[in-house]
Amino acid sequence: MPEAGRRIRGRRGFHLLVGGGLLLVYVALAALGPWVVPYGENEQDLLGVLAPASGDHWLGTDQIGRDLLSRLVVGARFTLTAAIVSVILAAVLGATLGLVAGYFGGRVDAALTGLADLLLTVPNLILAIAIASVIGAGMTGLIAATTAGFVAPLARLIRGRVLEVRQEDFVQAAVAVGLRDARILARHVLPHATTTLVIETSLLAGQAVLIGAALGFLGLGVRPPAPEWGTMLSGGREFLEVAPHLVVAPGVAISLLVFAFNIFGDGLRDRLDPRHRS
Amino acid sequence: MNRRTALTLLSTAAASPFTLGSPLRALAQATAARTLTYGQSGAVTALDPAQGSFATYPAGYEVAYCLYDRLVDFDENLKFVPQLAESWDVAPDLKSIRFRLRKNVRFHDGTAFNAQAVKFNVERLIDKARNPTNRPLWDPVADADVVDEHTVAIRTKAPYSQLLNSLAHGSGSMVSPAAVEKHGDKGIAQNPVGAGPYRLEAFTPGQEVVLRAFDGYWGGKPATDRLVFKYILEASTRIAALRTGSVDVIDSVPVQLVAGLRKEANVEVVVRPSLRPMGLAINLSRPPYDDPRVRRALNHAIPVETIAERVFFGFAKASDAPLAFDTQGYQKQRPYEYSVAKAKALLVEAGFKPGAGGQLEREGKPLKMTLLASEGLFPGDVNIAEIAQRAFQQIGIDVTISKIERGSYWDALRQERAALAFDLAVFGFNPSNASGLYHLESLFKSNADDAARPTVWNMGRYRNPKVDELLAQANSNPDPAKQLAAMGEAQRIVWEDAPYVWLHVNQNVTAFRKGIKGVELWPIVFTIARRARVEA
Amino acid sequence: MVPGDEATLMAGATASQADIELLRARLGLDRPLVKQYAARLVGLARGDFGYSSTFRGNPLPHVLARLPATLLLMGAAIALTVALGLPAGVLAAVRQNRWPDYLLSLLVVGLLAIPNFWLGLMLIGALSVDRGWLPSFGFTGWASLVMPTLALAARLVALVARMTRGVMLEELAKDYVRTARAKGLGTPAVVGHHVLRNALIPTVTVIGLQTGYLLGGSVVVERLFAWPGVGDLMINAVGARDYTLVQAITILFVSGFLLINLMVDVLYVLINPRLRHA
Repeated sequence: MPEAGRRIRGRRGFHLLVGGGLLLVYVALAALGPWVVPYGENEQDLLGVLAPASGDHWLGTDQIGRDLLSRLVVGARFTLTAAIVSVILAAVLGATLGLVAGYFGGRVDAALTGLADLLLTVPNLILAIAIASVIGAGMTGLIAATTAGFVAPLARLIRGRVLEVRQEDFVQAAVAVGLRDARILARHVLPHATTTLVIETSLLAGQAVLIGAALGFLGLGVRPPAPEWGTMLSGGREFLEVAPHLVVAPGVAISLLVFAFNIFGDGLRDRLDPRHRS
Repeated sequence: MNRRTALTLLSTAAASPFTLGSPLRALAQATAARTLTYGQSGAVTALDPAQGSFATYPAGYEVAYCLYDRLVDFDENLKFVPQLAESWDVAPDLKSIRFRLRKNVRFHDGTAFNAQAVKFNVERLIDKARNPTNRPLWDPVADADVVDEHTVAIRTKAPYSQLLNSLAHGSGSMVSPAAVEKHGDKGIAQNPVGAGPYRLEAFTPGQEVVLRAFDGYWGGKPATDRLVFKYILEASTRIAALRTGSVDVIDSVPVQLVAGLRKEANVEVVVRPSLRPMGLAINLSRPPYDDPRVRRALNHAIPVETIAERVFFGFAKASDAPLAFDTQGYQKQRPYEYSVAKAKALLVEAGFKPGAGGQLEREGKPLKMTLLASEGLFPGDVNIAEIAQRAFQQIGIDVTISKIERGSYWDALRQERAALAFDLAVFGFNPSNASGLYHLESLFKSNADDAARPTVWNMGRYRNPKVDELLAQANSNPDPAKQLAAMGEAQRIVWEDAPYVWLHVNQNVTAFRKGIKGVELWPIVFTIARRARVEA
Repeated sequence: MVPGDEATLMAGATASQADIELLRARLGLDRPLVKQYAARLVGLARGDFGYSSTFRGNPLPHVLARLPATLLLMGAAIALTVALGLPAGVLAAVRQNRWPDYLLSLLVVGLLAIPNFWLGLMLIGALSVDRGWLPSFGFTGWASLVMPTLALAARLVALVARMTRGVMLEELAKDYVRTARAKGLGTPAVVGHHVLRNALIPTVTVIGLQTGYLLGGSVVVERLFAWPGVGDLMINAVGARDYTLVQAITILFVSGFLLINLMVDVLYVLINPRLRHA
């Protein structure tokens, strides 16, 4: 048995490595993108539209002669920023709501849980579409739309954790001693919910990428000519016969990122969560 | 022929569980050899020249040209030829035309076509309540007078040189008055009865129209027994259907796919320039775009030739006039040379200087632009916007693109002046009655009230009294040479005033299987099948 | 409360300001917001979903008319999920740590990372353009159902397969199975009635948990394939700024969500005898 355990743990460490490594690459590209790429992301070579991969253009050009590789790299910042900011925002909001609901209980809890349940009945993407359509094109709308769907599940999760922790002796002691609620929450309850929060957030990041890309694909993302991957996919569709690279490349970029987040989240969960051993 | 039948049968069988009108399909299979199927890029939802007016454009019109006859028709080069009228006399004051009608013509329902029928139709089209569409074509018409059974005179309120254009336009289709009685004004759209070479057999709005040859057609029974119009929105599906033979004709082949299609052995590709010049409409009510120097600078900043040749693979031609090349009255102008230097110089002349950060500004205000782009309404519209954005950025303008969904684009354009939310907007106008005068009036004649919504398509609030005067002259002068001269001068002035950034005229590409003869591609974006016949 | 005043929409593109004001008064849009909201809720209960600019009236009948296409797509996706996911999971469990198992793990990781609209595009590229084996646009017969279903169901297949594998492994490790094997019963008999029944539970579980994905994903897939369902209509509505229609469809999706969850609960009770006796 211990043998198997060690083997499993070794595999999980591998997950963290691979996932983390890929994520680092993406972050680096997103951060350094504009300085690293051979062409401007809006630089048009009208004499060389829909060119296949070549020495000049490693991934070819699109229908108005823009270098696909450059656009891909620069586009990382939209997807990555939107996904990371969304899940962090959702984590902060969700954790706050969950903490309050779980700790105070009673009517506050009932109200917040009711609200969360209501929100949970709307499928994530539908909610995102509705919000994005009201706020309009741009990063704000994209982030708000993606965040919305994650707040309720995170809140519920944290609430559950808080309910567990609330029963523990050290919390009861703190209450008995007369410490203020806020202090108890911050000092004694929160740390035990943090692990859950971190794991869940990283697991949701992959979904955030998919939702963001879907919004871009549906035309609800950032304004043209921003090289957002989902938008590039929908724009490339009509050229599928003559220039499939326009569709393949952004899709691979999205998939790899989601894969990285998924695998990293898995590794994190198995490393940090004592209850989840395969 | 056997293979075609087999293919038709196979594809029909595959689609049969969900194709409505299955009994008709069985009939069609029996006469498959004399059926022509046309895969259209637009859906047909209404077949009435008045109510709904052959929605959607141009698909409905293409069906209408087979179902209905008009007093006069266009030929392939958009010249007027007799149809239901054998001959006509235009009055010297341009206020009426007397038509001598063809005799022994019957509508599909057997009723006779005569002067009374013409009067009925004209009155229906003039009446704003019964015909809310195509108003610019029918508002100038006063009435029709029955002179005798086969002679009718149509009068206009003021001298109007484009009456024949209105009558040759799809909306001039003659509907059987008996049918209007029977189905009501609003019923014709789903139950069309005309006097054309084909009659309606089946109609599933938004999906399919089936027409059958009309035995009693005055011009003789058409060569093809049956015409089927199918709605196939996506280009690759249309092309695939053409390749497999489940359709015989398709329209709107995207330019990037033409080369591939030309390689097919049994497919023929036909290309015709359209009548629709693409451009960026400028909102003259918003400074600094009220300054003609700025507008001319914009025209110098875009590489229109390269766009036409490269981005549209040569299936477009750079504009050199406000009208398209084949429009009646087109007159070539001096093209705006592509020169970033010239553009920048003009902006300097207009008082713009680079401010902090390199962006141009005048009196402390930076030079910005909101560019409206539709999505999928015009060929390559988003691409055009992105190219324009970059081109303008290179001369120092900060451009934001605002994408509008195709369904709401017209509304976004035709707003009250205070509600206009753009500086420039991607736009192309197609004068479906082929009249250059109609085109110039729609876009460049002064609005009745600039503060309210534009009268037709003068969203930019362009106003030049000289142009108005010339257009009025072209309308009222009986001498065709003088009409052309007035239109030419009007075009010259408009071109110089530059209320548009003119780009190019797209070509329309239609494809059909070898062995189909007689399919005409008209510049007004219509693929006409009424004289088509299937051979071999 | 959202842009696009109803009166302006109804009055149409050629109305004057005076006409719009008149219409506004007639519609009661000058009443206090709270009263308007209350009236709207009452209307909803009666089936009046407001004024949609797309349909020039109550959108409900038009939305319901589009419902069968969406139901067909979702039904097909669920059917495919069971047909593919269940056997795949069982196979992987029975052949644990051998190549079918590894292949499944790989596929699962892949299918969970790729966006469903990209999968759809790749399918179109492979099977539709150039070759014309399958139609890729609109509802034109059974053949046109294939690709949208594959694109939508992929993620579900992966999740069901993974969970089925897990449950199967648990079951296979149980005493009664070992006893049966000891008695000489071959694998097929072992993987028989008992174990298979328990394998249905993860399928239903996954579908229940992924209802949000099913509904949201159908919107994107419908858009990609121009499938004439409710999701496609929603995107049109967003583009046309027809917020009434967006609202109506959102409500429909929420109802669908609740309904599916209810059905899942019922199915659970039916499948799991232990729950029934509890």
